[in-house]
Amino acid sequence: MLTVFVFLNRLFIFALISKHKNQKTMKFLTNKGFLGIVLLIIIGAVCSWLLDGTLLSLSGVWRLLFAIGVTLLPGLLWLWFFYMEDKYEKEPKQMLLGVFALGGLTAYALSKPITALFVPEVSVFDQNLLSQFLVAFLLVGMIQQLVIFLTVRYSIYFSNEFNEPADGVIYSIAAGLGFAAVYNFEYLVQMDAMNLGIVITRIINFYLVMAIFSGIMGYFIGFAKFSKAKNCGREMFMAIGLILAAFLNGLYWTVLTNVQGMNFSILKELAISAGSVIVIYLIMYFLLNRSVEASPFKNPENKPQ
Amino acid sequence: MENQKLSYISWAVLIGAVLILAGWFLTRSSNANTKPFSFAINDSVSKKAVTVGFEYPKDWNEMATDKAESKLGSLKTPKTYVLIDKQTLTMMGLKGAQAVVNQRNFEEYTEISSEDLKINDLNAVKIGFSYTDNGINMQACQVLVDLKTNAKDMIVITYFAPEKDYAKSIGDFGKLIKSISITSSNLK
Repeated sequence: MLTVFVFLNRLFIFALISKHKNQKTMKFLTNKGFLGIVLLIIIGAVCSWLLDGTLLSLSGVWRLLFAIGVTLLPGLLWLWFFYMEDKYEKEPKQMLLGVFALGGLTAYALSKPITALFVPEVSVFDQNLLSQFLVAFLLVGMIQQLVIFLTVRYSIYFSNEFNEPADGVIYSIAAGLGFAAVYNFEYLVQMDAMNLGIVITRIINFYLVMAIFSGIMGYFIGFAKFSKAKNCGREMFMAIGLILAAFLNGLYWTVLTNVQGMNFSILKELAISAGSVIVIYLIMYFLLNRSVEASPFKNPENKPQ
Repeated sequence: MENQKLSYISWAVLIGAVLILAGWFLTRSSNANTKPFSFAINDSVSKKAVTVGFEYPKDWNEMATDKAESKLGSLKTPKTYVLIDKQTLTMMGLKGAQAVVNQRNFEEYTEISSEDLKINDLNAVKIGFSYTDNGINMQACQVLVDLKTNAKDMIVITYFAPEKDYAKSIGDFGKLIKSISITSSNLK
């Protein structure tokens, strides 16, 4: 199915390119990270369209196995797409999976307890737009991004494998996907009966946005590590990345909540996440491309043996 | 690329922590303006209890009724209240089942609007209608939620107000609906 999808995508892109002759557009549309996003959005749209209203009630070990399968598959799939995009010096698979697992562990060990401690049970009656945004940005968004930042900053950041600016993006996305996997898993196992169309689309949405926010932050981590600035300057650069990711995280959830309101539609939710993710990815792509082009391994002579 | 000395102390973490504390300070909120309301429905077939809870404004009060339903009335506006009831879903579906009840209960019942919703991932319908009560033109907004229990229970939450006062509290009713939380637990 994947091969057919990639083939159709290429066909579409070639048709587009032959019309516009735009090399940059082609490069963007054929990059594997973007293909991963499009594939996940298509899976989400098909699931929400075909499975909305389909109730599944599982218990015991079957529910556990279903939750593990459904939560891990999209995350690992997208991690693979990003792994393929790192063209000059691919990261060791065990390192990427290790950071993915660490992202999941810190989500459970840090993010959940800290969120429970600081995020107030704000009554919908008291919520105006500003307080909704402050909670989403300074509390929920900042806690989530800070935990992902800690995962990368105090693990792989010191490793010799983190040896080019683009690694910041790749490893942060891995940590963000691991983080999202744990939240998605918890979301699934607590449900006695689930509407498959909504559940699968929500899982994909959360993966998409967490990976993209973490990727933006990762660009700043990678850039900071290899900048010639002093430690203080590097930290400031990383802080900007952290605040930007938390801001986008908060903005996204505030917009999503307010656009949805009482008139809930899973397709509307998917459209909002798809739109946000594609715009942010476009920005990240150009940043990532700069990082990849700045790779010391662009020159084959520098590749580690 | 030559690896420069990397510091173990991260100012970025400190900045993030300060922002979280600032956020916590700015958004400390008490639920002083609302009161909680909840009720449970036991599903004897699946041996589960479904609990439906929501918040309502503090300037509303629980009012006595002689039927198996709950009533929350506004202290500010006369004849403005919210009725919470449980009904059984029939083959006619969410909206169809309630339309029959509404036509029977309300004089000059006229449906104004109807919209499908999802509340806590459950199918729901919002119906707007008008009717007359002792010569007063009334307007109502009704939300029906299919609880997906084996006994085919649905909850019906309706906001009633005189036509001239309808707009005053419809925002609060929207927030009440937004605060609905439906959970299920095993019966002992």
